[in-house]
Amino acid sequence: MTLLTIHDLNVSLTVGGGRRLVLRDLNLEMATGETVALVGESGSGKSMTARSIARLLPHQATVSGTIRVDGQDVLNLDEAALRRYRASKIAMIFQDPRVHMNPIRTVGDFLVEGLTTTGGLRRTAAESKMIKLLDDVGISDGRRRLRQYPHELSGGLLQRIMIAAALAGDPRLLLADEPTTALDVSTQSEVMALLDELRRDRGMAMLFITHDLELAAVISDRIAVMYAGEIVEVGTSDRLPRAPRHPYSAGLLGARPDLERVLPRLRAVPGRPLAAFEAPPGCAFSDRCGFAIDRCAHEHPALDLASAAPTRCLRSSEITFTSTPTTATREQLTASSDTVLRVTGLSKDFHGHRAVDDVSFSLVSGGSIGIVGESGSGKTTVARMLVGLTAPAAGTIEVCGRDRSKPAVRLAERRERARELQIVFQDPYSTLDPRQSAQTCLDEVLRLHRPELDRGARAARIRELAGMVGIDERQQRAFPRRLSGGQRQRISIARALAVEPQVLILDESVSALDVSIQAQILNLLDDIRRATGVSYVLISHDLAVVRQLTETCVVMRQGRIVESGLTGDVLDRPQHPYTKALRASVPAPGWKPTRRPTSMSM
Amino acid sequence: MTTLSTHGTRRRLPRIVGLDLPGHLALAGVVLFAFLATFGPLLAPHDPNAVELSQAYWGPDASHWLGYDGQGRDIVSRLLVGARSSFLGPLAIVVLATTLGMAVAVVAAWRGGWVDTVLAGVLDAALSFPGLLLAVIAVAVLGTGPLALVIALAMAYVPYIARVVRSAALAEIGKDYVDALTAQGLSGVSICVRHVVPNVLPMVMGQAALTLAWATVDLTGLSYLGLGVQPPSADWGVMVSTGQAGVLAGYPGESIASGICLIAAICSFSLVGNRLLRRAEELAA
Repeated sequence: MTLLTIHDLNVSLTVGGGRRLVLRDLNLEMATGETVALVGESGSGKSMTARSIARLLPHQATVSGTIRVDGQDVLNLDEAALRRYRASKIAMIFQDPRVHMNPIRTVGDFLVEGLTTTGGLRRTAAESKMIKLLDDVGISDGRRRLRQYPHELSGGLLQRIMIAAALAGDPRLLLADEPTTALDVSTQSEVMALLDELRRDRGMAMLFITHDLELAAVISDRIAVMYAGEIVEVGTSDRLPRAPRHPYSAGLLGARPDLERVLPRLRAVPGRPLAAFEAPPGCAFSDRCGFAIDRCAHEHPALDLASAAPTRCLRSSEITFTSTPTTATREQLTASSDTVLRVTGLSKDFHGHRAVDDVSFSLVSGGSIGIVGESGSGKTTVARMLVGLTAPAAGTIEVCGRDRSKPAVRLAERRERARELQIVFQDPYSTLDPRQSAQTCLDEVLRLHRPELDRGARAARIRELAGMVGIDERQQRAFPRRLSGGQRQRISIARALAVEPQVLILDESVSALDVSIQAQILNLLDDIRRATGVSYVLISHDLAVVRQLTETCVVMRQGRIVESGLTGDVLDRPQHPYTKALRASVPAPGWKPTRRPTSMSM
Repeated sequence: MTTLSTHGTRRRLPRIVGLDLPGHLALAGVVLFAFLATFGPLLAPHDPNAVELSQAYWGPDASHWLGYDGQGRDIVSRLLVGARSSFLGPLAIVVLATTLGMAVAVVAAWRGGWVDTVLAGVLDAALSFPGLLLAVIAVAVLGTGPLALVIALAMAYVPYIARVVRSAALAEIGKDYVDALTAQGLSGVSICVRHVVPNVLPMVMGQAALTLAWATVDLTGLSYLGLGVQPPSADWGVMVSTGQAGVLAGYPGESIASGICLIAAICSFSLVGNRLLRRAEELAA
């Protein structure tokens, strides 16, 4: 039976006087109890789709088309009917549960409010109903949790509470907008398992929004891939990830590093993901597509939902994608290579709590080491100590044979150290001064470290650096707000490389980027290392990224290193239970989300 | 992929934030007042201090568009000449308060720790002290006249500026690029002067324009009370005050004209400040 029908949905937003299309000719059907995953990158319109179904669009949005949920014409409901619809038919959960809860109200207030206002229950009755629901989502001590405030609870626990709140109205359709993206992998796997179990028990349909095609494949029955506000391909979760028909779906799959093997090169999709209003006139993907022919630039392909494998591509019948996994062998660096970084017994306390405890590792010249861990593992604190932004409580740091355990006091000494070790941060939106173009930014660094260079020599060096990271003339002069996340991250890599450091610390430097951009940057980092012989310390929670870029790695948990060794060995034959659990939490073909004792996430 | 994909649209800033109609009018007002403060005395058609008691409270004529005041002086000329002291006093207050406030705020935000605690404490304590009272005390100690008032009011406005700038600077210093520049070996002074200050400047300018409005209210209020600019000098606050006799006598022209000038100036300043702050917020988002 059909639960959801979206027919020819078009949504545009008014931004600064102009109308911007965000969803284009969207057609989608969902059966009762079915799970459909919407997969896409930034700007693809996947969240907008969910918001349209919940009618949670911004006020200036213009909407056309129809959305029917359980027989109700959603776009034409009046206020009262809309409230009833939202309370009983659908529910929505979001990426970051923390921002969706009032920090000065208890969890109980949050959970009970809906039941007492729209459900007409008394507070005590509502509380006992919620305690039962909390039990359903794996929170056994519900009565205590109701008295707690959001800041007292972990992200995983809060997401469970959000799920319990969503279930309170017994929805037919759950809209889950990246509900696990902000969570650590092990917590993610628990929340996924919970969602899977709940929707089966309750016969509830779920629209699961994610950027992660692998995750989509394990949770859903069908996958719809979105690009530039359109659905470009729909397929079953068995077929689509294995044999994609649309070049973009294939691109998304090829762009992800593989957890099982080191790929010689990631098949990065060139360019950046576009929103509907930026897309070229013909096929929206044509300007990034390796298979595009002249026709693709003019003719807008249709999506025939009645066909066996609906694909919005003019050439889908002609092209096939070969995906023979090839493994690259990382040349093992011999012990004779110079050690550029040696860390021994590094420790750090925060407010009487040991954030980093006795961490030791070393890195050879031209090598690459991964520091793997979840949030709170202390990995970023280690990075900050290496750079000298934080002073260690104990232990030594040696870079290029020189001790730098204590942060430099004298400016000249700090500059000296800066030439040996640099860092690239995670957030592309705060990594550059908003008032500096790439040129001024690089010029400032060069003037600082290479005062002997005159204006012309600096300009030449800037061109060289920009060429190395793939930033063109126009982008070099643009303010950061005109650039995409990937372009900004390229500039921050160029800034770090300007002084030709021996060691580059990459602190989650690719984790905020879209999959196709992430692949470009990972390939770029690989090229740079080959070209310059710089060594990397890669800090990441993403095991596949660590696999792709490093030879050795250490796994950190609660400030301590629990396992270390060659990256291949650690990932293929983990010894420590924590590493095993981490490894098992990563979605992969055949992966079943598992619910482990809840103690782990708390 | 964190915040970006939930919202589905990439974070983009509006290109040029177009001013609305009140914003445009207010901006024109500020430009006009700046012009009058600079050139007003040159434009005055008559000597603003030429007393002709026989023409006291005469109505407008061909060369005296707003008529004469209680001492037979040309009101238009007095308004034009008075623009300077009515504008320059508050401007001096704002320039002093903003410079000092910004310096204190950036130092507090950059150094953090006990420096920040002490400075923030001093600022909060200073906030509880009314500016007008400080000004009155300054006059009692240093004598009447604009200079004492300007210094006292500037001191009184420092904490208002500093509080706003401190929180903006803290947010800026928390961004990764400041850490990246620190890791490059850039000195704290360079980072603050070349990066932090320019980035909080839009916010500072908005706050300064608002302060200009408040300072105008304060300073003309004090002039009205006879503590600031002294008669017979032309000043809008003084004119409102000396015009009172005319109001009682049924000739309210002087008070109304100078009052309208003041209200227009103050509204312009605060509207422009408001729009600047709004834009600064959009830029920071």
